Amino acid sequence: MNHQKISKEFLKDKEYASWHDKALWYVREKRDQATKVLGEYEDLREEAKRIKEHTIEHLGYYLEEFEKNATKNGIKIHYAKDSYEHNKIAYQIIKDANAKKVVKSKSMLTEECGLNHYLENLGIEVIDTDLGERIVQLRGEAPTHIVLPAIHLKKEQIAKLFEEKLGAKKGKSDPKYLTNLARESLREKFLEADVAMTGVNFAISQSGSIVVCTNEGNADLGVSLAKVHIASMGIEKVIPTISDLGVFTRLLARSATGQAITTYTSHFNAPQKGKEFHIIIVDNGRSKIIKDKTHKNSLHCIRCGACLNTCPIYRRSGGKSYSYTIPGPIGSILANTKDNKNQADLAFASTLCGSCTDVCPVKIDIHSQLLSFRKEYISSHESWYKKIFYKLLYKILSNQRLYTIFLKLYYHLYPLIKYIGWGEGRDIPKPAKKSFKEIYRSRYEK
Amino acid sequence: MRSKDLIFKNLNSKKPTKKPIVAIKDTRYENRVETFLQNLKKSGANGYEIKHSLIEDKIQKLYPDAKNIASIYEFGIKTIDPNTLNTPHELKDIDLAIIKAEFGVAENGAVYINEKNNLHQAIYTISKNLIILLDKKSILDNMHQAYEKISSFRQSNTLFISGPSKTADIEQTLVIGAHGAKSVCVLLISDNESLKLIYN
Repeated sequence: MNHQKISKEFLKDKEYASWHDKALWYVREKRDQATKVLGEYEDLREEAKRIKEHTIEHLGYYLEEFEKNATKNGIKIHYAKDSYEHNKIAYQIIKDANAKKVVKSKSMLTEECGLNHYLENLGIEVIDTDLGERIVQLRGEAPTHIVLPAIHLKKEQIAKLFEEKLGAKKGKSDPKYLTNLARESLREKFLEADVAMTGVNFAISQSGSIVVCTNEGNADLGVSLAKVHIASMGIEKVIPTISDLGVFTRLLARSATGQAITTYTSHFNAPQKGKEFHIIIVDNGRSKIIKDKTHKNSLHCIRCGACLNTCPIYRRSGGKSYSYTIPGPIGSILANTKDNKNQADLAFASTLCGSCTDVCPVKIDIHSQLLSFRKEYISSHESWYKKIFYKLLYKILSNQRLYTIFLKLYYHLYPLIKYIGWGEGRDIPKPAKKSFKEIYRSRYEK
Repeated sequence: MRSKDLIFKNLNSKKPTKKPIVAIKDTRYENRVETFLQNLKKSGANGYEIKHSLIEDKIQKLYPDAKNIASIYEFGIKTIDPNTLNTPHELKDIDLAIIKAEFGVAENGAVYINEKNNLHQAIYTISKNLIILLDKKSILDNMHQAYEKISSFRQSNTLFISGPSKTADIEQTLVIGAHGAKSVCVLLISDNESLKLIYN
């Protein structure tokens, strides 16, 4: 199992692993503070869930309305059935604009599509402008978190990178200095860019607009300078009305970073005067999930990252241990809905503690879904001896007499069980010599 | 088959009969101005209540070193009108931009920017510093009220701004001044008649 193997490597450096764990827990704690101050927070989650359920149920209608209204505003809408088509469309727009330089703000969808690589092979320079994404881009890595792309790096590593790539002073790892250096170097890129690409947080059916939320201002700066704006969105990003934004803007930043709202919440409603505005609407396996009753609500995800920050496995294994663009609990579901043969190990990257479900702002039953993938996997892939073992275990655990006998056996076999793998990486409880019942009887029923 | 048809094959295109509504009892604030100022501070911005006639004074006190000041409005101080520039790129050396907000939101300190006469949206993020003029009486409780008030988008690009641009992408350390403004000051104008008169 891939995830396990990579996690083991990750955990070798105990100090680093503990630092990573704490860094994410800190974000989780900020989320708790920001949600507690709103008495109506639970109602908001419920409302968000209902809006998403309703929209996905009628997605054809809302998407069609979105297209109609966006087109009316002068936006050009494109549909892409898969990642290849998305990349092809993006390239065509860039080529038609005679452009060579693209600045891009954060978009997990373009990561999913492998857009950077595709465009670079065709001679287009793509610059990721979100600081975290720029850092991982300069290192030739992929983001390890959907909101905090460079969460796996220590500032000393970033200082070294900037020393090589941006001419930073040697050994200066002050985040303020490094951020400012990136600002200056990226400012030039912004001013040179012909095309600005962005992701989409919400697409509003009623008005044909898209909403992009950032803290850095990179989406706004890019779009307001470049002649062409290309926004990429999955089909599930649509919400019905402008007033629905009231619900989602209150949930997103509080869940993501513990802010009351992101610094910039930008509504792109029409092309600016003399400019072009394109939106590429991408399926890439999403419409298929709608037919899947158990997993379709994974499409409600608003990519806040709260489930990553809270997950005891993610915090202790890092984004690189997940073999899918989106790591963490929600990523494990999305990976499995796409391809449950090669990604099955991710369904096991969970303690099933349910913390992800508890913090999810749109109330996706994340841990139950992971469990259901395990069931699917075990019924079709598990080795014969484990299947027999599970059946046996079921018999024992559902029969009191067998269970009592088993406990006795367990006491004697404990030293052995420890060595066949069950005690690896976890404490297998040491059995007591006498059960509670036995002690009770010996004391009170003489 | 066209890609659109392939995608829509799996989707329900029927018009929904009705949308579910949960009545949310949203938090209201006794003193919206005070809450707004508190949350503004949390977002990294500063806020001041002042009389309209003192705007120029305040600007000069806050940013005595600002050389290139841009605004589509006229003040008693020397400013550049961005609308006279051909490209937004010419705004790259602006130290300070003075803009106007439609309204503020108490729960998060955000202000809504919807300037119909501004040709270059870049001014909101390219300027090193921002002064945002806001009618003190325009502060709403929360984002529900905000979007109710907006009701439809009439400009190509409108936005909420909550404090200066920021990032915590390096070891979770908050750094103010990522790509957009490095500082934001909101001036709450207490005698709003003149504000409406001049800036519309």
